[in-house]
Amino acid sequence: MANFCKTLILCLVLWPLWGTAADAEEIVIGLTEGSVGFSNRKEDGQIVGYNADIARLMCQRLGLSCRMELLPLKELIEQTASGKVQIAFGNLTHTPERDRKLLFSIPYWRSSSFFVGPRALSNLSQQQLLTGRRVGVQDSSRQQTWLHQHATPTTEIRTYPTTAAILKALAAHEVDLALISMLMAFHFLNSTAGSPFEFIGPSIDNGSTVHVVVSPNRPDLLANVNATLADMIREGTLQHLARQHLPMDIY
Amino acid sequence: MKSPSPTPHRRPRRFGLEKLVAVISILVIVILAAFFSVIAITQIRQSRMAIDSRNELAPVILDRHRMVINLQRMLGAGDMMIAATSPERRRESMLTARAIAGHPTFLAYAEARRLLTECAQTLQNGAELLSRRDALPADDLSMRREMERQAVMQWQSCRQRLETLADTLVVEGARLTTDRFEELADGSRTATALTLTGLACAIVLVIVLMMQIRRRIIVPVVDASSALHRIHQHQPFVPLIPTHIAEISTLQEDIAAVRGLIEDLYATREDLERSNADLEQFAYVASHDLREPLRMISGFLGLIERRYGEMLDKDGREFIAFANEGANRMDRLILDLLEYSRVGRLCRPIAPYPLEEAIQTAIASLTQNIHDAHATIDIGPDLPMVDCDPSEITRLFQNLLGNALKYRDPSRPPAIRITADRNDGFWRIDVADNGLGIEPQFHDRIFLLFQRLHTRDEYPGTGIGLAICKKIVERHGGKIWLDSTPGEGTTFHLTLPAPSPLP
Repeated sequence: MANFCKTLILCLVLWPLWGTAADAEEIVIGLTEGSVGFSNRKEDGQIVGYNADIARLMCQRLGLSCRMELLPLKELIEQTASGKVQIAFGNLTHTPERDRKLLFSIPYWRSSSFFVGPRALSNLSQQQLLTGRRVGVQDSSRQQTWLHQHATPTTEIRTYPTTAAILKALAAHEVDLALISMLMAFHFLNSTAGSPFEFIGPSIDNGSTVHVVVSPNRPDLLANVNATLADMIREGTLQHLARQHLPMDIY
Repeated sequence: MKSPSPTPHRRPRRFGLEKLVAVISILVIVILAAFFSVIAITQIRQSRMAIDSRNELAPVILDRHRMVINLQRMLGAGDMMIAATSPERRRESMLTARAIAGHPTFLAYAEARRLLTECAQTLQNGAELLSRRDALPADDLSMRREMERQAVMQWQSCRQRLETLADTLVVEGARLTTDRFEELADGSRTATALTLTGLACAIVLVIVLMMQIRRRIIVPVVDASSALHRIHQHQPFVPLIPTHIAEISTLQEDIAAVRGLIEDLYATREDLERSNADLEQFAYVASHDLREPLRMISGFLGLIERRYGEMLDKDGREFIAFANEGANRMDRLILDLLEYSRVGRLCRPIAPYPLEEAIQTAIASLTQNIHDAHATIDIGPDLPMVDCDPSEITRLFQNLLGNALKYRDPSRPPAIRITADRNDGFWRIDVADNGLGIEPQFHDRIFLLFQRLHTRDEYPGTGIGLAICKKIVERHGGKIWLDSTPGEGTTFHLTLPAPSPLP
């Protein structure tokens, strides 16, 4: 009888811990591959960048057990839509197609897109810039949509899975121009490989708000993500993280 | 005593109390609801303003704050570009400036965006100037300094405008914050003022209502109560002031009507008392004065009998004996009548007195009769004190005990029992005997004056004893009645007031 009582008391004491462990569901967090400053893998295998830091902090605050995966943008969107990835940091902006597939969080920064190319193209108009040139864009990106809408008949649109792949193609002169997010271009332009290149012209539009996206079958996670982001914005955590990776306040 | 008639007042317009209360309640509710509605609206406005401050204003201020941060980064980038000694650092600064100028932070502020773009271009030009300077021979100092001066001057111009813009944004942010705080403070002050005003109005309203309720309801009701009290105390009637309240007005009219009735009753009672007193006085005087001529008749009849008795024949002497007996009977009747009329006239004041003492005194006065009749008198235990005139109560028991001895059953000796029971504020005293008993049809009659159930030959007497008993009991505020079974006995019941407890 005494042993039974001891076991019962032990079970009661350990019950909350067991429950907590059981509640710590594993979440797959997807990040875009090769986005320098936001999410890219270092040589030692560690994933670094603004988005990676936010993802880690969010998992910690929500008490989630998270596994991070770097994916090309197109796969990131598809896997999030299918539910394989539950939370995605893809620097995604609203588009009608994405709105149908994904759940968008509140905005956490604002993005603008620029052409990046040789300095010699700096003074050309947009029409002149696109005429007869090869332009690299990320597959399934907002820039790709824009380019399809504004390209001239002689513009050659080349799509790449990651930003890093576009910039590599630019450095290798496989494309004449890259149309990418300004902040991703910034790191490239500051590198040795990017020294022959510049921002070309003004931004293609007025910029867009960037959001975390959540798998459509996890609206519960969206509410938690929104609450955590709101806390991070209010308390200045996002500003602090941005300062570690980016040259300015990007909200 | 009749009070003067109330001065006629103009009949005011009347309102039903229920309707009046309903109207006042609605009025109070409307006024308070209006105040609290205004306060609530002000509070809601305050609350909305606070929510707007959080959702709308705070982001605007934060945007300005971010712009200021990015402007400072831009200034830092520019300063770094001017101070940089390597082309790489200059390029980094120039790219930073370009990135800041192209970021959507300044999207909503076209002027700021233009200035930033212009300054980014200035920095790019400056970087090119400094690169060209670096390419010049080291000894071409004047040209190198000129190029450096141009780069610095262009940047300084830009720098000044950027600082001005940053200051403006800071001031605007502060002004937005201050203005909102002022608005919130104004709203708070208004809400406070309205709350205090509402409170003051509520207090004034309550005071006014209390005064009106006192004037229109409480005072008339108290006056009506006083009027009733005065009527009860038979004091002069003070006319009631007419009121607008229908129910109170009806009450006043009813009081006036009751007052008339009561005054009539008082007048009737006074007339009756006066008449009674006159009658008693008459009976006393008559009975007293009647004895004088009767004594004269009786005296002269005795004189005739003594002086001329021998001269009269048998019939003459018999006639004189009849006349003497008649005179004696009349004297007894007059004496009894005189005694009856004296009840309540020559008495001591009513005060607590032990009942047993009165009974023992009565028994002592009847000792011979009791002895002759071989009667037993059983007195119950713990006879009480009663409020009475001792002499009259003694007389009462003398009559009752005397009757019990007189109208005894010849077949058995009289047995009399006296007991007392408390009944509310009275003591009920029972005097029971085993005498002849009284037929039920005579139970009321025997208390009337000179009513007898037997002939004088059977039982002497005038038939006034029980009438005196009734008068004594009623004068003490009690009642007397009897239960009797012929052949078994009679029980006389009487009530006398118990002494009031000491305060």
